Amino acid sequence: MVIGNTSAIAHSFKDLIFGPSNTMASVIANELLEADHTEYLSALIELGLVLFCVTVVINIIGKRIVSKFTND
Amino acid sequence: MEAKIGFRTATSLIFKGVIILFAFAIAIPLIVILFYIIRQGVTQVNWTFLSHVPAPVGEKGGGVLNALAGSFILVLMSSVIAIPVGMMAGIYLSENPKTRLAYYAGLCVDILQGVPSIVMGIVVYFWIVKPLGTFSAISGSVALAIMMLPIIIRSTEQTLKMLPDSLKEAALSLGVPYHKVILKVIVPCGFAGILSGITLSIARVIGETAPLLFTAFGNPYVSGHIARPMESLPHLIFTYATSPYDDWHNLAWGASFILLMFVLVLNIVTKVITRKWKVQL
Repeated sequence: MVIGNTSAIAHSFKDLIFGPSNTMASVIANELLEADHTEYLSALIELGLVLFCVTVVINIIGKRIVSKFTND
Repeated sequence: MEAKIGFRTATSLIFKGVIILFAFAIAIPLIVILFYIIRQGVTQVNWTFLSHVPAPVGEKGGGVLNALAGSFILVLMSSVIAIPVGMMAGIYLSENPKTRLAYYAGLCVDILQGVPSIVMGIVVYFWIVKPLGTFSAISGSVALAIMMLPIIIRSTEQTLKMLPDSLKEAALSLGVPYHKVILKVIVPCGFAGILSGITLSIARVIGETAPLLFTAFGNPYVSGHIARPMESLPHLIFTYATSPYDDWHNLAWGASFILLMFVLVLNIVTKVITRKWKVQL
């Protein structure tokens, strides 16, 4: 909500840090109910899949690190 | 030599000071948020606010009864779904920690815990909302229930694992059947831990907006129909805070205040339970 919901690639460093932007989660939240054709809908679900995969990978890396540093 | 020791004591003192500073610094955001929301929200809350549905823009009065009732029903339904499943899965994980199934189930719980809430919303949208053809409270509570599961499973598992084996051995040696050992001995002994896990999971899901955007959707009226859209506190805050009207902003502040107090009380209850029964989560 506070990120500004703007789908654009920043052209300058100032824009990148201070300009409005978008995250994967905010795109899904804002656009899923507006998606009016199948490709649009599929793209948003694909975004959800990417988000899911990222969290799974980070989770598994985290598990590896924990198991590496505990003495079992 | 003396100078070196002095330098070392000085650096360790400075380091200690920095650590203590950061320990206090983590409390600052909490205090700032609390004070800001209390200042903005406490003036909004009165009996009208708690007993009326939102008024149209420009009219005085109006409240958040629809969101209060909706949140209550949603959390109740998701608890009914999540608590039995979560407790049973937790009991299995604590009883058979070495099996292959337990390993993969534990892995799934960890992954489930990390799934972004918006992904949960999208999945439930395609599981339940699309086939039924309407947004509904039941789909919202399914999404919330899936978010509650990992916390309940983990707290049940951790609590039951800490119970001494002699307890179970004593019951078994008296000839008590296995299912009765679990239901009458193991679960009652770990009840406080399980209960604190449940309150923690409720405190976690009651503030979730993202899974409800595509599932429970929101409703400007009080509704008890679980197959129809239903309002919830975080969703009301989300829609009203992004609206362009001052009246609605105030409504959102009041709702934020109620939600914040509720979560605060739930968290304190959890703390009291864990301290009273000496549970470790």
